[in-house]
Amino acid sequence: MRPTLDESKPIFQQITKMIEDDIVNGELKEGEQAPSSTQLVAYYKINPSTVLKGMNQLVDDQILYKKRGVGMFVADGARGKLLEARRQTFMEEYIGSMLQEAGRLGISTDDIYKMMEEMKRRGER
Amino acid sequence: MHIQAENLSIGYGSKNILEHVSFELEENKIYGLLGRNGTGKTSLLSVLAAFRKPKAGRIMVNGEEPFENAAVMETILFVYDSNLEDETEKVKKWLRMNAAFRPNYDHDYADYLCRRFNIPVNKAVKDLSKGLKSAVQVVDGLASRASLTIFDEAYLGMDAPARELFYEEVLKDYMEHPRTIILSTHLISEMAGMIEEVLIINDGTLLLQQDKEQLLERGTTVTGPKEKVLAFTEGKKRLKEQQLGSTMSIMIDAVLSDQEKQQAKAENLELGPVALQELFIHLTEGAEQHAG
Amino acid sequence: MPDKKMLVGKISFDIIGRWSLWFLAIYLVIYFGTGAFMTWWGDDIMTWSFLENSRGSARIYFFIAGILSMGGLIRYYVSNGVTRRDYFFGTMGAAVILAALLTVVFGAAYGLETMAAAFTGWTQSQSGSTLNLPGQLLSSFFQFILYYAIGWFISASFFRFHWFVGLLLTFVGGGLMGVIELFWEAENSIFQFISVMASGGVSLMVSVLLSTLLFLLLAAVIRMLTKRADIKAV
Repeated sequence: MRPTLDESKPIFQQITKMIEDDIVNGELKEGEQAPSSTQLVAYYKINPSTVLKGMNQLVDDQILYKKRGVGMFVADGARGKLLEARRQTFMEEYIGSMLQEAGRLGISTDDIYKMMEEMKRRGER
Repeated sequence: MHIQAENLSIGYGSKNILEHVSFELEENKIYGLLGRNGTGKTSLLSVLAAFRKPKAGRIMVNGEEPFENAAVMETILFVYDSNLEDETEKVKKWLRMNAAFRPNYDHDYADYLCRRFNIPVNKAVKDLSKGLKSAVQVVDGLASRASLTIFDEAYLGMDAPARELFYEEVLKDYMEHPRTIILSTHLISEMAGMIEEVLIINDGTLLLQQDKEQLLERGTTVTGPKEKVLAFTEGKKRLKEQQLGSTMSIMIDAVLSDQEKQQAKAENLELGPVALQELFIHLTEGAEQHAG
Repeated sequence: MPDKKMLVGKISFDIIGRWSLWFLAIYLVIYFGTGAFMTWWGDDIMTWSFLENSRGSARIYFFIAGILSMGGLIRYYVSNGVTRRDYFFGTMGAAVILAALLTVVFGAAYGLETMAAAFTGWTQSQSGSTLNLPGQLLSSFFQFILYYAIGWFISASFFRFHWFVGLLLTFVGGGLMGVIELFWEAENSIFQFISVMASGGVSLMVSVLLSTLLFLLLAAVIRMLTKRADIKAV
């Protein structure tokens, strides 16, 4: 979980993002219990209905499922689903805007490949 | 606790503070009552808490008028900024005396809260600092577990850590013992998160009542190249415009459809939310201009 | 839930009772202190009667207690979810019981003084009043509750109306004190005349009756003044 909320996104979306991040990073494994709304409310000092709105969205997206009287748990296949969705977003947002900017600067796709190789090498060093 | 205000007018003599106010509050929600200073928030809450009668219209609490209604009055607790200068009792005794009037009072919880707020319980209430006086009232307000608990600027004088504690305890106890809570405040940015539904009073009447999340969806900041931003926000209610070089940022009061959001994305326009405080400022400003 | 009226009565009794204890302690110390001093000085005659003197002081105390029974108290009760009705009846009940208690205490103190006088040879000053002991005690009790009601009536007037009206009604309260004087203070009493005419007891009955009526009237007016009281949340 991230310790603070920022104002660039509605709060309930930030809540879902935090839980999703934890699942993607493997901090929250499939079948494990997600943070309870009580914990989230106390931690972020926000109205329970806001937390619930975020949680319910995750239930609708089949990332979490409800166990009556116990709490919310990470659904089987949740991580795969999230990875797939993020992959899609990655392509549409990062790659999309990268290509746009590259177009503006006159960078060819070949150049981009080279740049990527270069950055990868630096990262490995 | 279910509350229904029907065409309420409040005022002294021929002067009306509020006119034709109607609303309905559901059970077990946290409401935020917002309004600029002197708009009649406290007057409205006073009527709700049976501190006074409305001039016209009526307010119904679980189907009954609260004024001089013993059964209803004991379930309503109104924490307001009273000075407590005459309270010579020690904190402990003062709380115990108040507790006698409240059927759901939890003494252990009150003790716990006093410890959390570092209240010297053997000191006379009147000798406490402003912040601690507020804290004592908050303790009374929470431990009474009244079906309708109203906090009207209850945190005045509290420092930031004490206010955080207050917010935390309100939410914690609200989840364990659901009840209707009304928070009247001008510290909107601090308390916005706690609120489920917003009521805004302006210009002598109720400007709006809306689910907070829905209200927040109404406000969007559109940022990008000037012409594109202007074109995108054409025909929408603009609340605020800012410009830096060729980049422009316009705050609009409009719920965007998915299609519009897609369009914005395609045009490289950045969409951002608007904070409740910001939205409140512009909504109440607009109404004033209308009246002006 | 216990009866709110009783609860208010208990708490008002606690509050006003505590003031009463202070008053009583200070008063008794001054009275007997002065008495002892006079004896030591060599003047063995106390120049005032205990019952009359205590009544004079205590009724002023009740008048002040009445004044203090309005603003802070009604705000306190309504803030705690108590109706104005329960505030009124509970507080009035507490005051009447306190008046009775204080009357008993003064009666007992008078008894002690009489005994002490018999043992030490002090001369107990007798009052000029034509009233016998029960009459004296009744006089104390009724004067206490009436002074209390007048005090409350005056502060309720200021609470309810513009200060100017409050001032006018203060004069009404002052006038009522004069009326009480006519009921109970024998030297001035118009009823002394009746008591001379009728053979004993009648004047006392008339005073009790008129005092009760006046008290009920004042109570009704205070109730009217506080029935709809606005409590300002400041």
